Order: sequence, then C-alpha cells, then structure tokens
Amino acid sequence: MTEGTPRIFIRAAGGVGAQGTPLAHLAGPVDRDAEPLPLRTLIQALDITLPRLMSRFAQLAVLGAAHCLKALATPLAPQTPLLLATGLGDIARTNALSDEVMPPSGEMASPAAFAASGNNLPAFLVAQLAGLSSRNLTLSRADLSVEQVMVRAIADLRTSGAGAVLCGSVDETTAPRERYLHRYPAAEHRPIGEGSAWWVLTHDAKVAAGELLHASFIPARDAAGVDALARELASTSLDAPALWLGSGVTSGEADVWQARLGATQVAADDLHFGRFPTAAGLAFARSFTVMDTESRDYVHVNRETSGTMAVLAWKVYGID
Amino acid sequence: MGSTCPARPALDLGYPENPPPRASAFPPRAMPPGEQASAQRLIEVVEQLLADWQGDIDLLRDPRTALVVGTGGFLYASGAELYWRSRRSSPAPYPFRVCGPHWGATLVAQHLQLTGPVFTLSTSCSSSANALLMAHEMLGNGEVDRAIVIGAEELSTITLSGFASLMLLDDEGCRPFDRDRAGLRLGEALTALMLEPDRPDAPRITGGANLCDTHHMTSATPDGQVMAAVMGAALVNARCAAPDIQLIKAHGTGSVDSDRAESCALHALFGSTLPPIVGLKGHLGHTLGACGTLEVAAMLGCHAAGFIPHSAGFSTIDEECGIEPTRRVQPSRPGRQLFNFFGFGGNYTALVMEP
Repeated sequence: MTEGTPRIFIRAAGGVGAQGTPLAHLAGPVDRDAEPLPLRTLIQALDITLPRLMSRFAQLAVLGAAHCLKALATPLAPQTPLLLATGLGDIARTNALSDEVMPPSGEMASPAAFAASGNNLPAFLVAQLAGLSSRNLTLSRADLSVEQVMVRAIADLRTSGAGAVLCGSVDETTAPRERYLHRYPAAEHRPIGEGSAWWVLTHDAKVAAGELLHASFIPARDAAGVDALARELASTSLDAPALWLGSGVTSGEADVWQARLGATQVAADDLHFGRFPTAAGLAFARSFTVMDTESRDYVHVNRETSGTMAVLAWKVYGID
Repeated sequence: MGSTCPARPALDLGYPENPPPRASAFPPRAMPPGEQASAQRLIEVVEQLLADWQGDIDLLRDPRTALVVGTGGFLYASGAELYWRSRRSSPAPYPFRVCGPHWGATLVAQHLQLTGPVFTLSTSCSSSANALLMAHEMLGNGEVDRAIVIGAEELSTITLSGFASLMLLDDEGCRPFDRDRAGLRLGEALTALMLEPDRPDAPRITGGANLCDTHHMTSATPDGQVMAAVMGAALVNARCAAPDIQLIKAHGTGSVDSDRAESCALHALFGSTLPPIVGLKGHLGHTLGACGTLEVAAMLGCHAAGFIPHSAGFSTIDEECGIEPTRRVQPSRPGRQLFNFFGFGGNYTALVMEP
C-alpha cells in the first residue's frame, strides 16, 4: 500500500464456485456453464437455516460466507462493516418474477419470492449469519465490482475506526445462457461461472493470513499509467508473483505484465472459474486455500468494458 | 448542489414547475424502446444537473470526479421490457447489455466520459441515501473533489405486483404516522445532485451512518432499537446531539409496522422534545431506492423557498405512535436536519444535513 499508510492484512478468505463447490476443491479449468444444481443440501450440511424461497443468488452468498467465517479462529466483532460486490444482481429471481407477473401469465408476484429478491438480501443474510449489525452495503461496478469493494473496504479501515471489514462478492449465472448474455458480454465459447468469494481485511498483523499490497484503478487509455504501475510493483515489494488475468486483458498486455513483474505463473479467471464478475474474487480468495509453507505474491489485473483497469496485489503467508 | 425530479405523482410542495426537458445531446442508440426511454430520462436528468451546476465540464473527466448511483430495483423496468420484447418481436439474443444494477451508472459514465470512481449501491430503499453518504465520505477523505450522486428507480409490474402481494399498498395514498394508515403509495424518480466540498453557501451533509437490523428481512425490530441506533450514530458522526436537530425528515412510509418502529426510535432518541417532523411520501410516493436523493433534494428546495412542507396524508394522530408530523406549511428555520431512510434487508441510513 502507499508508503506511510497503515498496512492492511487479510485475516481469512473462503468461498464457493459453481454448484457450491468449496474453493479448495476447484480444480479448473472449467469446460461448461454453471448448472443450477440445488444448493440446499450443502447449506444444511453447514448447519445454516435460511428463510424459505431464498434465491440461488442468496444461497451462494451465504454458502461462500460460511466457508470464510469457518476459517476465522474467533468470530467477527458485531460492529464489523460488511461490503458485498455483485456485478449482475439476482438475475434468475428477476427473470422468474418477470415470468410470473408479465403476460401471458400475468399473475400476482409471490410475496415471499418478491421480498427475497432484493440485491441486498444476501448481505443481510450474511450479516445475520455472522452476527453483524454495522454498515452493510451491496455495491456494483460490473466487471470491477470486486476491486471497487476492496477500495471501499480499505477506506473504511483507514477512516471509520473499524478494526476489520468483511468483504464479499457474489454472482449467479444459471439463468438460460441466452438470458444471461443479455446482461453480460461472455463470448459464445466461454463457459459461464457462478459463485461467491469472501475475505476479511484487518489492521491486525497478529491474525493475518496475508497482506494486501496494492489496490488501484487506472483510467482507460492510460497506457503509460499501466506501465508505470507495473514497474512500480515490480520494483517494490513483489517477488516473482503469480499473475491472474481477469476479463478484457489482451494477450499482448498479459505478456507485458508478465515481463514487467517477472511473473512465474500466469492464470486466467475465465479458464479457472468461468466468465462472470465474481471470478476476480474467487481468484483472490482461492489463493488463501493453497497450502504452502512458503509465502507467495499475487497480482490480479482486470479490465471493464470502458477500458478502466483494476490492479490488486497481495501476499499469502506460508503456513508453518 | 443541483437536482431535478421527474417523479410521479407531481410535486405539490410549492415549487416552481420543473423546466421542460432541454434538447439532449444524448445520441439515439440501438436500444429497445424500454431501455432507450430509461436511458433518455437518465441522461436528461444529468444534463439538467450540469446546467444547474454551471461548473467546468472538463473537470468531470478528471479522475477526481466520482459518480455514485443508488438504486434498489432499477433493473426491474428494463427486465420487464426485455421480457416483453423477447415474446413479441425477437427470439434472438439481444445486442445490448442492460439490467444489472450498474447499468445506469455505466451509461452516465460513458456519456460524460468520466474517468474517476463510478459505482452503484443497491440497498433497497436506502440505496441513494447510502450513495449520498458514500460520496460525502469520499469527499471528506480527500479521495475525490466532487461527486455526482444519482438516485434512480423506475416503477415496473414486478415492483407493483410485489408490494401488492405483500399487502403493503394503501389505495388511499401514503398517510405517514396517521392512525388509519394502511401502507405505501409507490412513486418513481430520477434525481441527481452534485456534491462538492468547500462551498460555504451551499447546503451541507455534515454526517451520517448506516447500520443493519438483522431482525427480519422485511420488517424492523418492533421497538425501533436499531433505527434509534442509526440516528444516534449519524448525530455522533456529524458531531452534534439530539437537541441540535431542528427538523426531522422521517422515513414515514405509511406502513403500520415501519411507522410504529420509527416512532419508538424517535421517542427513544429525542424524548419529549421532538423537533418538527416531516413525512414526504404523501407528496412524492415511496420512490424506493431513489427516495434518499429525491427527499433530500425536495427538502433542500423547500428550505431554499423558505418553508417546511406539510406532511400530506396525515390527519389523525395514532396514539400508539404519538407522532404528529407537520400539518401545515411552516416557515423554514436554520439549523441541522435529520433524514431517515429505512430499507428491506434491515438497511438503515440516517443523514444529518445543514441546509
């Protein structure tokens, strides 16, 4: 992070990918779209009780959060803020409600389904699960939603006096592919993913599983800015990082980033998790499920359709 | 700070009428009718804001200009249109990307060629209040030099049908805190405001807070404990205390339980010395995610015009609430004002303003 500012650490991370698969079990690469297999059994296995008619969107969020919360040695303080990213909102529930109330059906919406259709219901349910009563925000910035939540969480840690922030991201994409593509520019041949990723940012080095080293946006068309940042990251704290590529990064740019950073390993969100906005969050959270005795640095580069680029860099501590 | 409101029902607050829409520079796009109409309205509101602002448009392209949008279910209107189109005219996938919560923000950012932070908060009925709060914090932290804040909500069949199915609509209109209140009257709105620091003559946000009531996803803790807590936290954040508040803009939806809980919270925080309380939803309808920016803009407009509005729809005190919102127009008074916004998912936000 910027010199002179307090360091920010990652206390724990966890989540689920397509079909509710825990991050540690995601082997990748994915070769097909996420399927709408029921998640109820997985939720019950974690001893979680959800109100009826919770959407898949909400179920994925709660499942992912449960894995993250399980990784904490002690519960979060009730005043911990919660920031949740979603690029797409609750597509399947919106489609279902639309089918219900519009012609030719033209029926009244199901009250329980409507009440549980808000984009912020997942954040509410996770707050319930974690016993949190503080700030609770659901935020969207299309492909860069994960990075935007990270930047807001950093600001919260620096200015609000919060000791930790619970961050997450969730997207559900099991609507029929045609209806999903209305909302998201996935290439025809690219599998679509789903899932939710969660992590806890903290000031407390004693409980850290890793450290957040950098989070920033670079405006579109600022090629010099990209180059300068890559050089800066390479010259400061990073040691032969693994490079993760999000959406919209061209192969030429990937080559430049790899060369500048001296990256020893390059991976793409799309290939490992499928194409969807939360994939960046899965890449981040999954790095904390890799059991290694050595510390490892990571850089994630992402781009939205406007051209704005987002860069995250972090270190995962080795396990003794 | 500038604003505009094409909301229905029409304002009845003593405003001069909104000027007619200006000829827009917004180019027609290859959009289906529903999306194009929504986009056109959104851009018109932003252009009107910029005309009122009278600042240097080039500054908007600076990375230190933020755009924060608050919307609860803006996607519903477009979603309905999408459905309609799919059944009527085109069986093929469509060449547009709409309906995610970030759609409106992306559109405005592209139109204005913004390069700074652009994001959307979607927290039900507190969405645009949270957008104001977030923009206020970003300005306070020195992250940006100015922020455009937009509250956006379009009515749709899903929204109307959903609230009807929850039996939360009152055919006689919104009657905040009234003994005979029976629910909401829905509205829709697009409101845009420009926030800038160091404008001594302009109205100010002096603080705010957001908390989560995990009691139930659609209803408040009956004793209003968390509502009182968020108001209290907003006062602390604004470095003031209850006696400093000269006016309260209540959330006041007209629903039986929510108004009762808000009443408990107001009594708990202010005791027997409640300042004047205004409910605006009898005038404006409940504009859901847009009510934060809309009601702030409306109250600031009233203050600038020298009056506190009456609370349309209220006539008879509910002894259980013990709240008597303004019955008639009063002269405005200086001092801080507290604004309450409470949403589904227990999402509660309070803002303190100095108009």
